[in-house]
Amino acid sequence: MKVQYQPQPQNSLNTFILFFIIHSIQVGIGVQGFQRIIFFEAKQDAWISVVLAGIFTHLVVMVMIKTLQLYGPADIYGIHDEVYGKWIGKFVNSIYIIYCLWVFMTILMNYIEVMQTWVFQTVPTWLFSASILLLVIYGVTGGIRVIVGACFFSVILSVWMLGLIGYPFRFLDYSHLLPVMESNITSILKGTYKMTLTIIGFEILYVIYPFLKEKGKVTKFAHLGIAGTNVLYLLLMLLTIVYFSPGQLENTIWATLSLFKVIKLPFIERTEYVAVSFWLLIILPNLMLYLWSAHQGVKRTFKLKSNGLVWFFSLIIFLGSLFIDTRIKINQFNDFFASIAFYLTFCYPFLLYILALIKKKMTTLKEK
Amino acid sequence: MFFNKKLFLPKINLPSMDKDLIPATRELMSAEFKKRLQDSADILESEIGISGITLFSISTLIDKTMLHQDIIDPIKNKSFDSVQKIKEDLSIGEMEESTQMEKVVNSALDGNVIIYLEGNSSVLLVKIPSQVGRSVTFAQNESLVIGPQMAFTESLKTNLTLIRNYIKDISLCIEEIKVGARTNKTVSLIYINGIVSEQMVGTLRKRIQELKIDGILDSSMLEQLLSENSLSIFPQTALTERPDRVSDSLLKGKLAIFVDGSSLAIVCPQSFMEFFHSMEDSNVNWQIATFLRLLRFTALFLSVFFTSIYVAALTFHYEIIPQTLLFTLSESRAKVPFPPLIEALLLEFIIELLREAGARLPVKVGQTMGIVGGIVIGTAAVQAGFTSNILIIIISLGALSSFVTPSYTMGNVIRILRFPLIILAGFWGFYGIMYGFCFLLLHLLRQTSLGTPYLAPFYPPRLADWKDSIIRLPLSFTNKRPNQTRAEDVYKYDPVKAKKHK
Amino acid sequence: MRKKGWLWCGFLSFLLLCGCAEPKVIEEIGLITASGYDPGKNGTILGTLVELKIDPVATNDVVILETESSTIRGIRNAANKKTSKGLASGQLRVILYGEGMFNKGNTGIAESLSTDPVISDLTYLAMADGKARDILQLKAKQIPDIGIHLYNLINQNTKVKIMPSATLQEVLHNHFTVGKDPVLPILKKEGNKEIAFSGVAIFKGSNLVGKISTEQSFYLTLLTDKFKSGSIDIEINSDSSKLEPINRRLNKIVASLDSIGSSSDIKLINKEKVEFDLNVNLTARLLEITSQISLGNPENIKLIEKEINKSMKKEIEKLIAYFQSKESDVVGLGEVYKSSVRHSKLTDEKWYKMLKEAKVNVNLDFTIRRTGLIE
Repeated sequence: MKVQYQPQPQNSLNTFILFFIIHSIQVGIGVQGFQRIIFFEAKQDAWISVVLAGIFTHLVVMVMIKTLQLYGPADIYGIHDEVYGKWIGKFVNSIYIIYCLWVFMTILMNYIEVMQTWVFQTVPTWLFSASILLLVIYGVTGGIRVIVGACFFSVILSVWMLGLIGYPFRFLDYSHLLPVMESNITSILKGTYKMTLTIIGFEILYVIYPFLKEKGKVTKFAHLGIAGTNVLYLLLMLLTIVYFSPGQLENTIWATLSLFKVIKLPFIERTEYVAVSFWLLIILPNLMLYLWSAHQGVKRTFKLKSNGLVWFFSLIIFLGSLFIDTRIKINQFNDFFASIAFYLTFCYPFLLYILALIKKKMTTLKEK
Repeated sequence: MFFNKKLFLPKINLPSMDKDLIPATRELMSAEFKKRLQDSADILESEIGISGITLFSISTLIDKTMLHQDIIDPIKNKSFDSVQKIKEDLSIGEMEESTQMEKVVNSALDGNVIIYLEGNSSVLLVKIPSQVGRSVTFAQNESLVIGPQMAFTESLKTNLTLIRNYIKDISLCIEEIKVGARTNKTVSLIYINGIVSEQMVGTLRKRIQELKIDGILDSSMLEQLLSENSLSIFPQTALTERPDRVSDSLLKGKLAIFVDGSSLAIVCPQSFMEFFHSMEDSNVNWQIATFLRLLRFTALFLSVFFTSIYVAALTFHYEIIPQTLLFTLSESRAKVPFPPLIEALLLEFIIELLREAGARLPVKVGQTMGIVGGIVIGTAAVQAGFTSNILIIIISLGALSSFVTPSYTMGNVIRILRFPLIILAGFWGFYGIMYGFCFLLLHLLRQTSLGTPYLAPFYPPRLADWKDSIIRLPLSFTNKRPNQTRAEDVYKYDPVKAKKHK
Repeated sequence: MRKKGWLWCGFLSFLLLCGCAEPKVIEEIGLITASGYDPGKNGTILGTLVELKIDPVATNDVVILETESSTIRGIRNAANKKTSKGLASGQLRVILYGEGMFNKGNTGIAESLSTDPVISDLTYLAMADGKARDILQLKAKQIPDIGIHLYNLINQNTKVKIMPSATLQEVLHNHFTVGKDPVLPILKKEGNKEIAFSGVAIFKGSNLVGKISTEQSFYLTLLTDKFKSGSIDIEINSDSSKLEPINRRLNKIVASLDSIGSSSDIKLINKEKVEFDLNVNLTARLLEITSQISLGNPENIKLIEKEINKSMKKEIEKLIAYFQSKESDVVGLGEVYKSSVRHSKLTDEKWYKMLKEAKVNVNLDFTIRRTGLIE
């Protein structure tokens, strides 16, 4: 397999769309209730954890882009192959593919749980998972342009939600934020660690990189996308801290959705019902991008090229979703996943960069 | 494409080339001509003058007055020894010589008179087609308040004249392609060379040439054959009866297709947004045009989603109904025996029936449909406890909104789209509506029109094109042609020079 | 591709057919618009539910249901046995608690409500003076729907800040905050026909510890909230000879203020001894005063300002002393303390002890912006 990957010209994307890709894949299911988990650790300084996590993300993305730039238009599958050799490379690629499917599963399960808790208590899990999977299949088989289009619209069409931030204002109590830095550094860092599940997604850059037209602008738009997400998370975190009292927040699983509970429009009494359903559009690009990158992985590693693969993956996820049906199981699933995701998305890029550097040096030495 | 898959060949025994010469004697010629045209009853064969000239034609296709005045009169008293001499004596614009029987027969079908002179290897083809058709009239389906009122007719010539009158440009290209093994329709492909993308012309030309079908009757049929995804409900090219609209599209770098005998032109590539543009938008002030466009988009949203939101709210999400509406809504629902889903479907169905009946009936009778609809549904159905009056308001608002769409084809699509959405809402509530919305979004993203993205300029986002797509800014702001057409000449005018002249 | 398309459509229709969500069609459910809770026999809760009945034939718009159960949710289930339509609380607007509910230290009521996503966070909570059921059972001609009436009553009064705002969100918020206690407006049945706002219930944690009058409620709002427009009649106790009462009918001087604008600010000035500075800025328009004093004279205005300032300050000090004596921190002094002192590790118990000893300096700045039409 070649390290470099040149997609067909009609599949190449304008680089500025990367902003939407990164933003939409990061904002997904985690945003519905990340505040509580971080608040448990860092209390009113949770927002510092969010900022730290954001800064760290920028750092990781910088390293990721550096790694990719070593090879020109390359993706992670090619780099693995190059760095580890044929067989280990295949193995590592498989892990990455499974990781993608795993994220897919996590997002799906969490969304279904929200739907079942907030709106449809009696609708079975399989129905939600099957219907959403059908939608995802329809999108993914349309190719990368359709997926990226969905990312774009998902971001654009969700902007109205930001306008609703004004509503909770009359309930705000800014003294919740004081005193700043009450928690110690360890708790804040623990909070940062807990941000993992919410902030991941930017690793899509590893796969989508070859599809971008102007490689020089990648750094700019990738960082812009992440900055957008960070600002959003910071805003939400601050809003949540000042809106809920500490005891209340510890009891609120989906703080962002609970914020919607006080929004009353002249024609809609309870916005949260609309918001929960609307979230389908927000998670849809996430699901499609992950399934696509898994698909892309198989295509690159094992030279299989078929839309049947998408159906096959969906079937696996569907069957998997049947087993995870209670909140306890979902929480266990999430926790287990969060630790894996942390190492894979936050620590691994550094390792890969170093390995790739060494490998590159070695080959140049050999040639001499 | 659907028809490309099956190899279609007309079952006509084509004569081989060596037999295709013009027969030497008059009897042979006559026999051959009649044989090829299946001995049709309307074949006209007449011997005139003294030098043995024979005219062959299909009498139903030619102009009789011209035949007598311009052909028979000048030559009946003279003698000729070659076809070229006859040609010199005739004062008709379209004349041609031919030595091939195949072409002769086909030209007879086009309204040619064949002048045959015994002993010559070639014949003279004189085109005097009969003029069947109507004159240019008012645009019926796409009428405007401000703007030209002309519409295309069924005559290809008239239509091309209209376009030529709008665009007096040397680079206006008109290509002719024959389509249909049996109907043999003339299809004209029109574009402005230098603006249009060569690649698109090539694709479209190829696509038309490769059509294997026995016959097309109208451009709307050709449009369906040309669309890239025949399973999609959305039209991928526009049909219009307005010459100014076609000219405007041509100037934007698009292509237009005319079919002989059809009063509708096909314009492509067409994006989803452009179906909501009316020619009036460029004729009125830009603020008003912008308002109208936004109005149309709001209407689109209302039309597609309003009824389904009603169904979802009343079936699953009673919590979201505002307190002030709660009492009115539930009171009007209390007498209705059906669940909201059935109620809504029923009423939508009645509205569609009314519309279809109104469209099929003659104009005078059609007016009574409005009265019937107003009285029967508006009053009686509510009093009988058949439907709730709030739903009537919602449904009629939706129906009204769908008629705002300037394009008739798109208006139909919007009305049909409501049904699956209502069903989804009736089963899954807001989740169903969102599901339907996401599906529509993905579907629209998957569509292309002549290889260009259907949702342009929204996606791929081209902010510069939003100026004349969602809103309409003053003409001085829009000096570029839309990116979607991939025009070779990007600028409508030089922005720097224009500023100087202000 | 075509085959896949059909497969896709087939799957979707299959899902639609077998996976219909459970419908809650609006006319098939009984919408509870208000509910009231009182202590029942043997530690149960006596629930009174107001169900909006939409029946074109029936004369009454609402049905009142009464049941007893040991849990709040149980009340709804028990009441279901008595109605023709399944009850649902998604349109619940007002929750009324009988006084007895808090006397016994019945805790956790608000918490049990918050776990149900169906109940809106903007639901108003209130306490009944006496029994909640008496208010909900009220039958009067001018009140066809008691649930909506209560909602509009509370909504209207809360908006102009006559009543302290007590939505579910705010009560829960204050309840869960260390160093702040919730308040509930008290509704009272007056005669057989009217319901009126009669005072404010003061809580310590979730126990009712005291009540203040509607006049005092004004000062409470002054401390905890901002006025943008409000009005009040204030009694002035003054020795100044200039301020003579206008007539003998009212043997006191009352000033009527409106367009009140206010802002307040609490500062911790001494961490060890716990001392607060409470600064209140107040501007208002003087509409009427029952005295013959000439309002055209700037000095007189100054005098009135001073006198009103004095009276108000006295009232506020009295109110705070009352709160301290009841160990209830509805003003939120504890929150100020917590946010100003690093690593305070404040708990409720610790704070209530400190609150009793805390010193609060009230600084009131009152200005008359203008008088009415006459001078």
